[in-house]
Parts: sequence; structure tokens; C-alpha cells
Amino acid sequence: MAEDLASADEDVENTNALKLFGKEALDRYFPVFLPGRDPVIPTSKQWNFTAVTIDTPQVVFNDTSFYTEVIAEPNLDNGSNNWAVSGSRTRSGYPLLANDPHLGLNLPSIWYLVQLNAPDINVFGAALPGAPGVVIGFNDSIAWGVTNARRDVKDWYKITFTNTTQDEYFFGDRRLKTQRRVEEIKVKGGNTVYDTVMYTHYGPIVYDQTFPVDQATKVPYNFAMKWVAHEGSSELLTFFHLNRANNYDDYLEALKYYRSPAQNFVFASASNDIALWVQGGFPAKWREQGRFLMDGSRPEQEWQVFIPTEQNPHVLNPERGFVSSANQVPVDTTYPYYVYDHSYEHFRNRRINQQLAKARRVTSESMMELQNDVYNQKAADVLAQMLDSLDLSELDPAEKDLYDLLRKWNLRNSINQQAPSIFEVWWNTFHKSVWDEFISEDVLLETPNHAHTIYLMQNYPDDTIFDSQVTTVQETLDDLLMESFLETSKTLADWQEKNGKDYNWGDYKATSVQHMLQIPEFSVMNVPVGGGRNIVSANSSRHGASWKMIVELGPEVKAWGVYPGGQSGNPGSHYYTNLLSTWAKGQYYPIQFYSDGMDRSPTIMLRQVINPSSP
Amino acid sequence: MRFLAKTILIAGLCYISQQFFPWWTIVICAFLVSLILPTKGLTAFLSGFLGVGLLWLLFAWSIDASTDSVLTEKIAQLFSLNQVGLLIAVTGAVGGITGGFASLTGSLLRNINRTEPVKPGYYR
Repeated sequence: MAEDLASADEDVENTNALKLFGKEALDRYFPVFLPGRDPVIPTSKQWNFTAVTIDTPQVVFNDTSFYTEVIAEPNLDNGSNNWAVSGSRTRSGYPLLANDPHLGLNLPSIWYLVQLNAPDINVFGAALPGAPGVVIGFNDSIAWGVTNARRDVKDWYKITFTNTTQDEYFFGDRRLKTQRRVEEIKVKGGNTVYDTVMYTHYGPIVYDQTFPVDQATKVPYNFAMKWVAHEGSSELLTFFHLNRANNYDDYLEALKYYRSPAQNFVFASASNDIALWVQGGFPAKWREQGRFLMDGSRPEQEWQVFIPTEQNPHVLNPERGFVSSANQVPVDTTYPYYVYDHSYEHFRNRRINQQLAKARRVTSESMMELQNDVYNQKAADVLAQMLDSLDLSELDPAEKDLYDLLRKWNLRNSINQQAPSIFEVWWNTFHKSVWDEFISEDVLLETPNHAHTIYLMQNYPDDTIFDSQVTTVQETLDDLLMESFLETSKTLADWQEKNGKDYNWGDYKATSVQHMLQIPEFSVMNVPVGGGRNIVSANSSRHGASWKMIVELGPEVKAWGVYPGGQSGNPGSHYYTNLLSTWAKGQYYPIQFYSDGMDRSPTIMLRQVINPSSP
Repeated sequence: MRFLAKTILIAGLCYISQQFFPWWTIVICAFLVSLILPTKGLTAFLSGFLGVGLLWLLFAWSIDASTDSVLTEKIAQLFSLNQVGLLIAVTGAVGGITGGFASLTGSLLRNINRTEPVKPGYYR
């Protein structure tokens, strides 16, 4: 899970970009603090603690080479939504909590639903097969959910060896010993591969002389990886205690054990508390520490201390009456620690907060409606500017039709509309053409993300970056938008010809839930479900809401849930994909939460008595 | 008469052995039946073919019917057969051919050392 959720870093790309463009341009293309953010913790939050002081060293790491390749990054579509609404804003007077984790749409289903009932525990929720306990769920007193809390928790340190034997390396005026560990990798039908991995006190050296690349490829040799996930911790205890928790204090106690991958833990209780903690092990960094590659021979560049757990961003019963998170930046700039990640969400979170801020007398139905919301916040931010830039006199009738469809669009990514497909293709074509100079075989660079691009379009429309490097003619932002619009028209016409049908969003996006072995017959293709990337209903072609849960607390807890698959991993079972069509329609199943007397319930289909080995 | 008895015997033995052992024990069953009960080659082949073929056909059909074709439809697509009926027929044919040849092998082995009876009026 840590690899999927907390291993992304752009240190090499950032270092390359710094050398290529300089600091001023880098900060313009990749602002560390993007204006207009809507953080997890409401901006009204006061930080009533004394932050640990961190010394900012006066060191500059002079690394002159450009790198061309790094190891693969996890998919950035791994994300989630969660929120809780206070009893003051719900019809029942008790809190409502919702969570939908977005993961790869795979079969057998990622999650397995269980109710665990034993003398000191009675909990229901989604579990990961193979791991004990419920990860996202509720009991009769509390409910909780998680979203990924991105932060840069992986850094790279250049190791300077004392000599070619690589037995020792410099660390200030000391010499530290390396350790070698031999990994044995068995290969089916082949010889076992032995790989010697060298460890420093920072962590393993990932790219050594045996790293398999050709001559032209430059990887960051002799850099050690320092990563929070490599440190020992016992996250399972968090879920063990959450499963049994009765109130806010129990929830706090459970979170103490949680280090990685950092999560936004949303919480609601029948005693009318709502809360959200951004929980994990976070190094307290000086400004921009670890944004670039660092010098491992300088002790002052190492992580000095972790942010004390109680100083992690959190909020309990905020005035606005709700808490929420959607992988966006956790805090505003008043938080006394440096917070950085290259890929904070900028759209889903704002839509969720806008909707929750105006919601009154909330019910479970309105929570379902919000989880199924297909409003395209990105289009709302940028489409008008894009359309205004077009020179209508140069459009032919077919292109004018596309233009009209976009003008009339209700900004919803619903399956039976063509406008979402047009916007998606246009935006992606445009984004690619803006950042074409970042795509090079000689230097590995990250392209500014969608939020950064929109920020540049609106604040620096005359920036030289909008001048395409492919052509010699001087170009402007408007030219690029016009060119990409014409290309979009061609792309969509080609798609239509090739597939023999209209590019309605559902058909164009073609969401599929696929078997792990990619066997089409065991997969479900072309699932008619709306939504998309950066949309609250985050169902793109291969990613989406892997579990949707809504819990209404109160004297008697009520809950609803659905997920894209079924309880069985056997493709020959009725229960392999029996929940999928309900999920695609945006509907839910009421959850049967058994308290006492579950044996007599008429809804029990099957009873299996397991007798532990007799003495 | 012996043909019918052999067919039923092969089907029955195969049914029982497949409850406990892997699928290929049908080969041993059909082979042994023909080794013990002598018939002509063609009769041996047909009793093995029908005994195992019908058994597999019926068994595949009953699994398909009792599961609403959940898995059979997917497997039919996987083998580009596209129809569940066709998948069941192919299943029967594969079992039939295997059983037929196993039975024929048993019959031929039995006959391999048999000396032809001396026919009257024949001079060596």
C-alpha cells in the first residue's frame, strides 16, 4: 500500500528542471503553494502549539548532470473522497459520514465486506483480503474512512564513498560503513538471480553500477533513498483499535500507531463529534528540503526530526459543520511546517466543499447524490477562457458544431453527452502541446499538472512557455488553443469512424473492470458509468470508486454501500460481479448490521458453524 | 448385448473414479474394461466413445444448467465457441475420443497374443 500511495516523488525531475530553467521559472511552472487552494483543514483553524524549530542549512548541492530515467512511479489516479457532516446540518440531528476510495477497477474485487462480531467487538466494513480487521467501516458508536494524504516523504541523498571498495562513505567528518544484503530472486524456469543491495544509514542505494540501463541512459547513481515507509511501524494496531472504538478519544488513541502511507482519517460518532486528522509520520522539513536531490555527505541536510503526532493537521467539530478531504493540500500557509507534494488534487475537493457548504438538512440520499456527482470542476475553471479564445470565423461547420456543444454543455460528465468527450480531448491535446518542450529524451522532466497549467493560463497568459518549440513561428496561448481545437475535431472524427458510433462520454471513456490476468471474458468491459478524472465521481477508464460507503450514526446506526464487483473471486460464481450494475447506476444496498439476535434474522441465507479443533 | 454392457460399465467406472482421481483415470477405466471383456475393435472403440462421451456430455450439461451458465458462457467465449451448447458438445467429443481410443487399446492388447483357431481344411 505504501508503494501505491506514498512513494511518488519528483526529486530528480525537479532537480533537472531547476538546472534547466532556473529557480524563478521553476516556481512559476510548479508553484509550491498554488493560489486558490481549498485545504483539508479549514483555513479558519488556529495552530495553538509551538512548532519544533528546524535549522535551515546554508548548503547548495552542485550536481551538474542531467538524468534521463528513474524507476516507475505509482498511478496518480489512486485517490479518494471522504467527508462527515455534523448533526447540526443533518435531518436526523446525527452525523453522516461518507467515503469512496478510488483505486484500479479490478476483479476479483479489492475489498471484501465483513461484519466481525465477538465479545468485545462488533464492526462492519470493507476489509482487504489477507489483512485482519476492517479498514473502512463503522460500529454502533463510530464510523471512519480514509483518503490518501499525499506529502513528499521520500528523499534522495548522494553518497560519497571513501574509495572504490564502497565499504565506507563520508558523513560530515565521520566515515560510516555500508552494509550489503544479498536478495535472492527465484525465477520460474530460469536461474535464481542474486542482487546485492547496498544500505546506508539513510536507506538503500537504488541505482548502483549494476542497474540495468544502456549507455545513453543516465540514472542517479549512488543515491540512497530515505523513505518513511522503510521505518518500522504497526499500522494494524490503528485498525484494531478503530474497530473497537466508541468515541473521539478512542479514535485518537488508535491513530497514534499510524505512520505510513499517511491518510486523512475522517471520523464521526453517535455522540455527535466529527473530526479529521491528517495522520502519518511526516519529517519536519526546512523550506524546500527534499524538493531536490540532496548531498548525503552533509549531516545538516538529513531529516532532523519528525513532526510530533499531536501537531499533525487536524480539526474537531469545525464551525462550518463538516469535514472533508479529497487528496488536496492538507493545510494553508499558516501551518508552521513546510508541506509539499507535486500532485495535490485541486478540483474534486473544491466541488465537495462547495456542495457541503450549501447543504442543509442533509440526508443519506443527498450524500449518495454527492458521491455520484459528475460536475466537471476543471471545465468550470477553464472552459470559458478556452472557448473565448477561438476565432469563430475560421471554424468549418463541423467544428462549429463542437463549439456549440461545448457552449451549451451543463458541465456534467454524464455518459450520454458528447461535450465531456470533446472537452477531455481538447484539454489533453492542449496540455500536451503546451508542455511539448518538457518531453525530451535527454532530460527527464515532470510536466506541470492540470491545476498548474490553468493557473499559468490565467495569470501568465503571455509566458514564453506557450510558444511551441516544434514550430519556428512565434505563437501565443490563443494560437495553441485554436490549433488544439482543430486537432480535437480530427481526433474525434477519427474515433467515430474507427468505432462506428458517436463519442458519447460513456462510450468514449469506456470504463472497464478487469480481471487481474487481463482475460477479457472474465472482465466487464464498457461499464456505463459517468464521472472521470478530477471529478467527485472519479470513474475514469480503469480507475474509480472501489467502495462507496455512507453511514448515518444515531441511536441505531444505518449504512449503505456498494462496490464494483462481488464477494466471490471465482468467475464461475453468481457473486463474482453481481453488485456491478447497481454500482454503475449510482445506487446502493442498505447494509444489514446485526447486533444481538442475528441468528434469528430471516435475512440469513447460509449458516456455517466452524468448530475449532476439539481437545 | 456385450456392447451395451461394456458401455454402461465404462461410464459407471469412469463416473466413480472421477469422484476421487484426476480426469485421466477415464483412460485406465476404459482400457481395463476392454482388456477384460473381449469384443471386436470397432465395438470396443464405440463403447469407450459412447461411455465416456455421454458421461462428460451429461455432466457438462448438468453443471451448466445448475449454474445458469455463469462460467460456461465465459469459457465458451474464451475458446471462441460463442455458444454454450457448442462448448458442451466439444466437451463430450473430447471425452469420447479419449475414452474410445483407450478402450480400443485395451481390446488390441488383449488380442495381441491370441492365436487364431485352426480352420478346418486348411493346410499348413
